Amino acid sequence: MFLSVWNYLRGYVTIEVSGFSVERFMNLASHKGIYLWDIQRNRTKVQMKVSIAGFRLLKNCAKKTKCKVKIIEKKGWPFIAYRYRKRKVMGLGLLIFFSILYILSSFVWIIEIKGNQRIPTEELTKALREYGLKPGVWKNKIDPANIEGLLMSDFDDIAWTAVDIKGTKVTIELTETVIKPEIIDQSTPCDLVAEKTGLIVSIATRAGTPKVKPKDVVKKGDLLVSGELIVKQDEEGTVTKYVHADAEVKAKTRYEITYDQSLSYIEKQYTGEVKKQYSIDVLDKKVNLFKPRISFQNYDKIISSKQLSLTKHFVLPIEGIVYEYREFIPVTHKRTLEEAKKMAEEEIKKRLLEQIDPESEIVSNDIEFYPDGEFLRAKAVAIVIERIDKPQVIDRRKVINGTEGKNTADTN
Amino acid sequence: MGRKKRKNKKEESIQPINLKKKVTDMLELPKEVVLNLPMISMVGNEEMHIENYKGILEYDSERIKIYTNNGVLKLEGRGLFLKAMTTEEIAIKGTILRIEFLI
Repeated sequence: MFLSVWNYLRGYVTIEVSGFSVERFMNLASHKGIYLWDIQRNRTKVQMKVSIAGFRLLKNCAKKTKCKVKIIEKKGWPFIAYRYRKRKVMGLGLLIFFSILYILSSFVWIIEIKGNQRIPTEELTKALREYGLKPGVWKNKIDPANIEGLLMSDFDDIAWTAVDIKGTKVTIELTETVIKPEIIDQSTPCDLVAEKTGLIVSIATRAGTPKVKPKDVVKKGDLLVSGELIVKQDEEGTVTKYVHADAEVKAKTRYEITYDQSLSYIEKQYTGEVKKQYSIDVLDKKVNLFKPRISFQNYDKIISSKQLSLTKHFVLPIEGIVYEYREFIPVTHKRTLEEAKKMAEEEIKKRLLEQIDPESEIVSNDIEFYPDGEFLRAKAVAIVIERIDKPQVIDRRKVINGTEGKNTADTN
Repeated sequence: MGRKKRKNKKEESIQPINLKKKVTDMLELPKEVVLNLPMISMVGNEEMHIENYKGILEYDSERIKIYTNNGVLKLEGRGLFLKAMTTEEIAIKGTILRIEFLI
């Protein structure tokens, strides 16, 4: 395989040798160091391949052995180059082609950012632009290590990043830091307060003094379980201990959701009329190739684009875009009341589930419907049993003013 | 006449070759280098490489005779052809059916 490519580049001739003793001719040639290959016998004639340099030496051998040498085929790059030797413009064109290819491939055309979830891509691109990394920048000017460092120092959220230049594409991979959840230290004295207004259903206290009992109604922010623990109470005074209150307080809470369901809807009926517009995007500059007049009243515009690239990593800054316009006639349909009700119900249920914790239990969900012209208004009242306790740190001063200080503030 | 001459030459050179052979056998030297013997390697029956050959005597698609220091090596087969030929080595392809040394 490689040998044949090498032979092609060097150029070779297929010759036909005929004469009294072709074997002698071959022996003589190989003794002179001429490489012969693919030697095939055709009755009295022998066909063989020989390199251009070898062929020149063969003439002498042929004379000595009185063999006749006939060229059958010339193959390889030197012959092609010889044929085109006078076509200077073509050579120039080839030179220009390869130099353009080389120049274009030494710029960055595409920047890809991978792995960002919280940090918006626009922000990153803006920052990269400031560091001097943007489409059209010379590749040699980019220092990946430097950009990595700048990114790390400018964005606190980035835990790790790698800048990789491959062909004309720069890939920036990054990993964001994990947000630390706000956890109140178990040893910090705290109370539990109500997160929502509701009716207490059950209360299971593990630490602290419960301040409410089932069937109590609490408002948002009310104290549920106090972290203040009275250890001893007699004539000498009270001994108080502050703990990290821990309890599971469940309450019935109320959710009100209103939703307007439209009684009519529009369906697109495509007429089948399609018009296409083509354009080429070169370095963010659009060139319209063919722009038809669009006389449709209602249409969908579908944009599909394709980036031109030679290889996977060698992406050219040229993008072909096809705009497709599809005409449609809007047709208004009426929904029956039953249909509207069903849809409203589903929508309300979806919205309710978005608001509440997945562990909560929906006790009831009453929906009332009021037809209102074009709309059907649905009002839903849902009763949900859920945990409403939320820790709240006890005021520091109060803790210190208490008889017992910090050292008693453990739950056990 | 020519044949007789060659035979005489051989007889003359037998003595030193035998001595050389004994020495190489004793010292376990590579024979193909010291005694200039052909080194023949085959891939199945379809490819054959002969190093240290001296020349081709006959070449045909059914029969090839190669002159070596060990005498004439005769190959018989079907569709034989020379894949490559250089000063040191010769490569034969085709279906080889018989190998014979004519000493």
